[in-house]
Amino acid sequence: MMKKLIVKYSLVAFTVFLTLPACIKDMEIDVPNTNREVVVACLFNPQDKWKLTLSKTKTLQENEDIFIDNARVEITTETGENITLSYTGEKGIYTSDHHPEMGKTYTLKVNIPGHMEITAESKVPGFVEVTVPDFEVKWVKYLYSNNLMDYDVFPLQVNFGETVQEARYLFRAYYFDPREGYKRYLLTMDSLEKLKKAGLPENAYRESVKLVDQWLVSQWTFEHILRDFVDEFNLKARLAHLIQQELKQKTVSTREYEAFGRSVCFGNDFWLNNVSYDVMTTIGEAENVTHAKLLYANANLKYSMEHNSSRDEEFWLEAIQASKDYVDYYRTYILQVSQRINPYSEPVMVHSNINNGTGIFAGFNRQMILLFTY
Amino acid sequence: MTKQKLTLLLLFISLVVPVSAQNTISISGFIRDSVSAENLYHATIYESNNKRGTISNAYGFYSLSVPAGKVQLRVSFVGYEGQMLSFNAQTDTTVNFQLSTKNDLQEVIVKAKALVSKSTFSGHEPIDMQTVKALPTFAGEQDVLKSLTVLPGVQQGYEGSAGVFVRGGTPDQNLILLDGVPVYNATHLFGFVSVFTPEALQSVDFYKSGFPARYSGRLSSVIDVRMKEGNKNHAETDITIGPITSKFTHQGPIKKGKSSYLISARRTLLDLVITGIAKISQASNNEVVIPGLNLYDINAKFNFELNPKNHLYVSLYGGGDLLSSNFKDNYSLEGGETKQSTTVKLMWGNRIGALRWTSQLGNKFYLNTTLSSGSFRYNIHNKYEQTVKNQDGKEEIWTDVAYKTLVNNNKLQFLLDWYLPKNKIQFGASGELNNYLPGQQEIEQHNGEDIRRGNGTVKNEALAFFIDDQLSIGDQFTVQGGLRLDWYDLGGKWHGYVTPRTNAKLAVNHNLSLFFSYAQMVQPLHLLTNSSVGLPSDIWVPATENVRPETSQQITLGTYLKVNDRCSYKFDSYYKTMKGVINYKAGNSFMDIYNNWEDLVETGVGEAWGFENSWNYKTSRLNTWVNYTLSWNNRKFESINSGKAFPFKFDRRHDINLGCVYNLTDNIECSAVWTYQTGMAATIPVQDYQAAGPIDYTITDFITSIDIEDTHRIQYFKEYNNYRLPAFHHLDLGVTFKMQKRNLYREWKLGVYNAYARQNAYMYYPQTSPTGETKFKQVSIFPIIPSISYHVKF
Repeated sequence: MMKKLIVKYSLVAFTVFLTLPACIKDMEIDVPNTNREVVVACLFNPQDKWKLTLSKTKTLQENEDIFIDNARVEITTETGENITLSYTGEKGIYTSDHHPEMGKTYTLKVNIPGHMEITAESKVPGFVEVTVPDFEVKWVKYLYSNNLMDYDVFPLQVNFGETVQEARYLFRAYYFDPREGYKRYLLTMDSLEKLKKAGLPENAYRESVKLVDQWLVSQWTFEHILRDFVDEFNLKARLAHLIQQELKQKTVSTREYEAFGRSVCFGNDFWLNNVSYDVMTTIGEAENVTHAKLLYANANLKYSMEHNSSRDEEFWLEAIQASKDYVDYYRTYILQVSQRINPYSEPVMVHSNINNGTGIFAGFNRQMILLFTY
Repeated sequence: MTKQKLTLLLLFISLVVPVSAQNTISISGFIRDSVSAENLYHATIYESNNKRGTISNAYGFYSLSVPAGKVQLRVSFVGYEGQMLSFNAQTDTTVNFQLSTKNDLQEVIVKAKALVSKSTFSGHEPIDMQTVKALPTFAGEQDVLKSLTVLPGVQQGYEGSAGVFVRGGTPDQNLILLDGVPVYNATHLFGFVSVFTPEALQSVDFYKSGFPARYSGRLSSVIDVRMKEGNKNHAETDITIGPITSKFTHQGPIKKGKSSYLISARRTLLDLVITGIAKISQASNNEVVIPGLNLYDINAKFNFELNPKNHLYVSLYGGGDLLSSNFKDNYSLEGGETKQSTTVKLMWGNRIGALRWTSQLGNKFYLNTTLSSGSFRYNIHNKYEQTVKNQDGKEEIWTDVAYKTLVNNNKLQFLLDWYLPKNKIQFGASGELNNYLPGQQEIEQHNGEDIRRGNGTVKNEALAFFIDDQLSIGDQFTVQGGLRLDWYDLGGKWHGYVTPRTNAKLAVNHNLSLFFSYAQMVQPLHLLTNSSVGLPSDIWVPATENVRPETSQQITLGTYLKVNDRCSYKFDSYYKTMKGVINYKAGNSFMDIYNNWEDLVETGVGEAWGFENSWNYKTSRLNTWVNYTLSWNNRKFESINSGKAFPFKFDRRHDINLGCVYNLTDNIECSAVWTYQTGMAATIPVQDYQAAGPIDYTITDFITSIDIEDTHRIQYFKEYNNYRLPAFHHLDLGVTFKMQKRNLYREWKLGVYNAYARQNAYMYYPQTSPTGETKFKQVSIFPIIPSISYHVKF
């Protein structure tokens, strides 16, 4: 936090000078009506069943997503096998009991009354085993040029089971806290109504409605909504206290992907890089590679190691072997998010491989590797 | 280069070198200022009997071929009293002129007219420094680069920025030279102030088309800035105190009448305020954050007369910016005492040096040999230190992390002016050695475990031959033909480029002239502007076999009409195409030192065309102008906008500049400039959708520390730059009070930038209201800026 403050001060010395007389107002621009597009959201991998969401783009003035519930969704394999996805009845989600298979190419066809046929194609890459050879945690400093922050990192290497001719990978660092990772939290609709009466703003209420009556992996989900939508400190504190009182809690025996915490991961190889301000995902494409060098960071881990205070946390590495569309999608998506308030940036169009619509239909393989427990 | 092209070149050279006529003599010499003895560039010398004329070169030298016999010479130069001289000449003769300045009032009036100059050819605007001084200031700063934006076809980028966009080009496509050496980053304070100290400058030549063959290396314009040589007769000092910078310039003779020097220094005093406030306000804190800010420029020039025909010049410049922060924290824990310190520094700047030898060879040749070196560095330093004292002793830990980029140009050039009876030929050759450091990270640690990451230095070479011939056919038609041959080492393999240049002027009568020009340009280096980081992160890289040089072609057609002695009108139309312009591929960062930058960019094409109009009206006290440009500016890249052409960000359809300089009395000068530009093209995403596999963490803009809203949603738009921001306009006012008492000249300058507080959009961002409605907000940074500066000269 202090480092963020330092960087802010150093760079904003000039910005302060500029912004002393600065003023902000609504911008007057003529925005003509734009036709909505159908949005396909489907990132598929062999470990999960087919699941696809259909919606429409919404204007920034609208509050709710518009889901499509009357589409015919078919996925065809390269051998001609047809898989039909059925509507689940909620939030534009279509599913099938089938699993995608490694190394196969899939073609998507979506037919919606009154709309041209929507198509897309993608492949699940063939499986290549990823291993991390034994290593010693040796902390070094690393300056991330895109945000001028220095990180305590340790290098590690990932080996591929074979030479990967067309390598497309995403690597992310995770940790799993066994004391928190098995807990689940639920806020009921009644509790949400109490929050509304206590002053929860309308937009925060609308966001919260999407999450009530569901067991969530984080107790801070609703606090994050408060952070985004409530400005007044006292109200925020009061509502946060009320949320903690109202949250129901249980313990489960299964691990879920969402229960893993994110950490920092950089590329340390010629073919890997992080995108803009993002320090969580390193992405790379290359030909004929046998390994990937990474820099792994976790501030709590370093502190624990320096003070010999083991927390029995597990430290994991996620390796995603991705299709070309998957890589392009994430690279442009992260960049767009990072650049939204940068006046010097060119606009970023997020990659889409959907014909007659937008969104993404892309295959990938995920491997989670336990590095060590500390 | 093909055999046919070589043959063409030889044919061209043979055509432009006519045989001298018999009984023709040469009259040559230097034209200088009578007080300072400085050479006068662009002075006109005209022989009335034979109706032949020429202009002095950058070193004041002229040579005129006339038939032997009675000669009547007229010499004139903007702001100086003209001179006439009649004599009988039977052999080659040397005549030196020393011109005196007109009185102050006349000086300003005449010089201010250079805003709409009528130079020999279209596209060339000689800018006199008095012109720059006559314009309203921006926060008290007179700025050479900003003064160019009043010209038609030259647009300002972001508000307040000194980066100029010439006929659809970008700032990196402007060849900015200081005494002939390229300046890679010509601005301070993120682009708000240019690096040129007006008091140290003699003149600026600005070309936006019809480029002489001696210029190369950029596509869109040439801004050739020359430093003063220094007063050869007596010492002179200028001191200016302003809100952003304060300046000191001193010049004088080394050997009276023979050699001189000039030293100029400029720095900001803002750091005293910013750092001082931070220190005072945190004096009692254990945790202290001290921000720092600095900018400086140091110019020095020395010139020596070796003999009347040989001169030696030394030009030096160093300037840069520093932005820093120092965080200190002292605390005690369990009997021990810990001190922590983190220092972050961003430093960037230029260094320039040039050694020039000029030599008059006979009466018809003038040789200029220049050895020069210029470089631009951009460094980031992040140093962390920790000292722990306890009963076990003292332990020190430190890490110094540095990120460095560099571009360096070393050049040897020969330039020969050859004066013939009806034409002037300029030809030359140059060789360059360039060094680039596209990005390197160096980490030093207390334990000696140093780390170096990056691709190392890249070197390349370049060779060039060029020739220009200016030929007058009768009294009415003047044509300038040029040809340039460049060879570039593009990563080990040499590539040749032939770039022809043509200028033509037809004087239909005394009041009406028609102009035509055609030019090809090559840019063998690219600027990787890292738009994925909101920092001044200029990284220059050489063109390579895979990412070839940028090229352009430009054709212009124009006219100049002198309505009467007070009123004139100038029209120019242009069409320009650019190939090989680069754009980063979405999702990549140029500051990534592991990747080969060639893989991160794609090349595209650009197209710009427009119509420029200038009206100028002047009387003895008033000079006023109306400049209007109607233009289009598009780009096309395969991966952007589905491969379709789209308007460039700075495509401004209408650009209007109204201005006037009025001398209220002999000692009070008023000026006003109103600028209007169509709003910038902008991509406004008016729709969005839920991301598949959303990134479930917060991304923070590291400059503003603002968390970026709702990372789960993807903003959707179909076309790039599909909207227009509100129009950009502002009115700037200035008034100068001048006081002269014996040898002491004083000047108070009052100015108001954006006098009616127009809130121009500097940036914009979407914001969702509590009711869920999203609106776009605009940020304006300069609603109104009054300023005052004081200048004293003695």
